[in-house]
Amino acid sequence: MELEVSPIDDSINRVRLVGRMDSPGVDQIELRFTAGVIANGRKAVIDLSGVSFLASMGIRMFIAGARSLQLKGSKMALFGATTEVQSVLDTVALDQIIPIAATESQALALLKA
Amino acid sequence: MTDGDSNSTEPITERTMVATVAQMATFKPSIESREHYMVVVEGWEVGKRIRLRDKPLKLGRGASCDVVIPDSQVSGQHCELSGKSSQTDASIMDLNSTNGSFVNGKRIQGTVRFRPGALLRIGAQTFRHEYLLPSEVRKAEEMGRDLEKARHYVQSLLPAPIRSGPILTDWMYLPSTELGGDAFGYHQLTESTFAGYLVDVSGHGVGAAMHSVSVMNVLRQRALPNTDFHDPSQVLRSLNDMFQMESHDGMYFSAWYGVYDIRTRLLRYASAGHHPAYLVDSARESARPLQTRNLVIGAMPGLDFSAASVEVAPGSNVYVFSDGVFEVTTRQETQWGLADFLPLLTAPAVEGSTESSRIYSAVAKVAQPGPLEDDFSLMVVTFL
Repeated sequence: MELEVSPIDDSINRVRLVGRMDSPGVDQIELRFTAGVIANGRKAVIDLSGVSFLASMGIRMFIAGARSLQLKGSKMALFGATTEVQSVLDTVALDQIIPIAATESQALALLKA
Repeated sequence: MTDGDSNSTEPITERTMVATVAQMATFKPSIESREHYMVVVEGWEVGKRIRLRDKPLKLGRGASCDVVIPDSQVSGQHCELSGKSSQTDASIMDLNSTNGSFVNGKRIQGTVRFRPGALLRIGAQTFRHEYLLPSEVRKAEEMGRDLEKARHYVQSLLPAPIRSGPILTDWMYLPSTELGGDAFGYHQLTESTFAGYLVDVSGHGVGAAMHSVSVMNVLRQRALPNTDFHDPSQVLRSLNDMFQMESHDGMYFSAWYGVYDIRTRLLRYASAGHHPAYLVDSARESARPLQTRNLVIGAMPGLDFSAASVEVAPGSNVYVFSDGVFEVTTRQETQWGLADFLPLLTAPAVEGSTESSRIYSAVAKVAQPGPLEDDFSLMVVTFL
């Protein structure tokens, strides 16, 4: 599992995730996700186009991250999920706490809304 | 002060020097080296760990073998395994067995490498290769014992199948080697109402299993405050209030809860972050999803949960299951999903087999050999 963080502007990070977000995959990136994406309190758009599988530990990472950002007055949005991953996001109704978009520009618009 | 701790500001005294010299005198470098093991992950003695050495170890059904396997599909002398502690890979040689030896699903010819983590299947037996330090073996065995205890405990809480009356049940619960956080159950609420539920806690291991047991006990004992257990919305809302993830080591869970009224034939249900349960008619012509779209339990306090209801025709089955039932890696190493699994629900019944066994057998045929990646929990309720 890979994680890349790059700034879009002064207040928003782009985070690209690649691989299987199952237990072993999340173990590899969770600390870096928390330290590099959540701890600084910047807004974030998370690119899921490289995620081939999303299991409960991945959902848990997103929920915990969204809640931490909310406490800091910030937020994140997800975008680019494949059909399979989108189906998991729909099942857990994650859009009730994290905005989910098809594209990066839509995700950015949701963050600014 | 310790060796190499050159930045320490603690002054060196005569006493610390004596202690340091004494420690050095008793210090012995680690001489542990890795050894090869194969562990039974499916078959006659799950969890059994067999050490491999330079000298080949013969496996087979015959009494002359080093490891005698009571399996009619295993040949008298089936295969030989060996492993040098200085090399990462062990090796395996098939001894012209009738039914073959399979490494990671591929039948082998002659001698091949057996890499750490690889699975060997002979007959109905599956072994995993491990290359571990003795201390790691001790830790793994200790953990295995704890997991086994937790597995037995969860199983002891599951209700007995119901074989007579207007509502029949059968189920299959097969925890993964890691033990997941599945739990399910059912009970009469009143003479005419019957409740059933399934929860699936995020993650694996004893922590997830303990959490699922806590939830199951609350539901079994109907111990949610100010909650009408006939109302699925109220039950999920109360569970959400009680099991917020920040108070439970970051764990959340998905849930499905339903209440059936025998007089009206109405099933009221609600789900939280869970894929649908399915209602299949007696002719097995359609599988109707039973799902309400709600967030998982524990993610956010103060949520309301929507519910729905459906009329149940005589002879219908409701299938409630965890995602471990369909999220499997196939023998072709592709990912199976819910859409792949659904046709099994409307497939013909098999005489002499329960519905849960029939479906498990079908999934096991598709999945890679060895234990499934996640708990397999499937509950089938038949409404006569």
